[in-house]
Amino acid sequence: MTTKVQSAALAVLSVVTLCVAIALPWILNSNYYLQLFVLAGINIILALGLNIVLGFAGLLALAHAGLFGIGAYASALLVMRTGISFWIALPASAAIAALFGALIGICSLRLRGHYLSIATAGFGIIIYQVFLNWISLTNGAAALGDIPPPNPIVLPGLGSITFETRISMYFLILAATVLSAVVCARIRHSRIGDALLSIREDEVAAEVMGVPVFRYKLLAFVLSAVFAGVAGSLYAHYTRIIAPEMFHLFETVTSLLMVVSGGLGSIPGVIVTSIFFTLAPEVMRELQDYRMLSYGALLVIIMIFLPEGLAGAVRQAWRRVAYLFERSKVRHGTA
Amino acid sequence: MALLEVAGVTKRFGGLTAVSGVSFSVNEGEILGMIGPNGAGKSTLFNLISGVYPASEGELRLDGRRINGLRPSALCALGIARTFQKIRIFKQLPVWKNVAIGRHCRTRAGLVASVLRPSWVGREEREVREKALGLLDFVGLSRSAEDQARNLSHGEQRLLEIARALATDPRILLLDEPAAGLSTMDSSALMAMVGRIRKQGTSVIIIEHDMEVVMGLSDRLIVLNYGQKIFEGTPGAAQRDAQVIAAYLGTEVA
Repeated sequence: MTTKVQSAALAVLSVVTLCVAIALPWILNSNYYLQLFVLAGINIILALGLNIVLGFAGLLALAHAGLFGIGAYASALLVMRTGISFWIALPASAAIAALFGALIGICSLRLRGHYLSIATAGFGIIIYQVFLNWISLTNGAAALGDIPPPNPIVLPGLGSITFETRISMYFLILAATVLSAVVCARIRHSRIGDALLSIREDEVAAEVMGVPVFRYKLLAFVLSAVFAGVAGSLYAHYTRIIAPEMFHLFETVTSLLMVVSGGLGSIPGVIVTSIFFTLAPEVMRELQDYRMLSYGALLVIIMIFLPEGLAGAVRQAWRRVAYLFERSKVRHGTA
Repeated sequence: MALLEVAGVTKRFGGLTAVSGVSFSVNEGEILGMIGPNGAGKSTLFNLISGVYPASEGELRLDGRRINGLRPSALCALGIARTFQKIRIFKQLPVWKNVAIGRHCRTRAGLVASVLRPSWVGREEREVREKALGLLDFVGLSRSAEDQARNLSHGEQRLLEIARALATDPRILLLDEPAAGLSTMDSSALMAMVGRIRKQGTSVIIIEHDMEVVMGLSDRLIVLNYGQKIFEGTPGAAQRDAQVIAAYLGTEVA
């Protein structure tokens, strides 16, 4: 009963959010704020990817920003060096990121818990160092610029859609974000999602009950890398300039904060906190120097007071409301 | 031919030999009781049969086919299911989902199907849910189907483990102390349930300290002590066997 009401409420909320998102360019009427929402979309896709590996499968993998960077550099370089279309480079860069995700998984999934985190963080740092030092390929710290925007989509008889303007990029990334969220939700509520959650809950029991644990962990790594790769490709062709610092371990921590504070495994929670953590630093400009410090402090506060994140807090509030509702019904019934 | 054969199986952990040259077999539809003092190697033997540990020596056969070295998930697909002495349920998932995960090896929706959701995926999911609810009914937990598994009592969690194991359509079910933490009334209900499981053609190996349960249920009994099999036979004969009595009660000082 309550679950039905909950899912109906969630459906209504999703539709309203989508309508607001579509109207947003006209509501904001400001290129500056619109740009923040474009970045929020990219952050959502990134965080949804990390959510698969961390929220579903319970693996604290810390190479995420590196995989994001691989998507970005792969896409930019494919388009700039080989001249292929962005629309081919986008899936290709997702596939390249997936390949690296699989490679990192195969090497590090023998380890568990903290050791897995340390190993994957190591891979993240290696990737960052390669971006920084393979100058002939990435241009190093001097940044890789002049990345072209996505190629126009030609609609026969209707002209073409170009991606020169911020608003058109906004809609492209909105579409990608919505698609990512739908894919993520479908995985979450499928047999595969259940298998991943069972691994998070108890690895030994999952394996004994017929879930091939290693294969599913690897799948989680690959899926999360695909999301990171897509986010990277969109990011590169949106900002048109990429530099190694954007793919530093610190960016993984930012995604981590979004996933943990959203509530591990909760897709709506992760979306809300990703938007929040993209906008908040801009709105509170004066605190810019303390960003890292405040993120750390926030993570500690969340772990103490809201261990289940935003989604957990909402669930708890919902239960409380449902309880009060039931109680008042009983009271009126007996009176 | 025996369904499961354990032939001269040994398991060493470093210098400790937990199971030493144990052989026995289980026939189709048979209930085999396994008893022995604490540390006799009973649970280790379960871990060997279900593939959690590899055997150091000896051979395990299912339907005459060698199954040494297979992953637990592969063994589960072949029809070996088990419960755990120290309960291992998926605490933060709903009770019915715990059982549904047991259906994993019998369902087939892959990544692409899960994302695109053709109509057969929905059908498969409905079948899984129905089967899970049916099994919860079988073990008497249908009222708690939507609750979080961690909210179940200790005894209920043991029953949930049985339902989850049954969801895999096992040919042989390994029960590791299923009556631990159950009241006398609950344990007689458990005995009836195990009897019904066997009637459906599933073989059962049961480790149990509650003698009433294990003597009442078992067709045959094996007794382990210090990793070795010291007795195999009917429950009645076990009660008269000098070595078994010595293992449980100690020998008289001469």
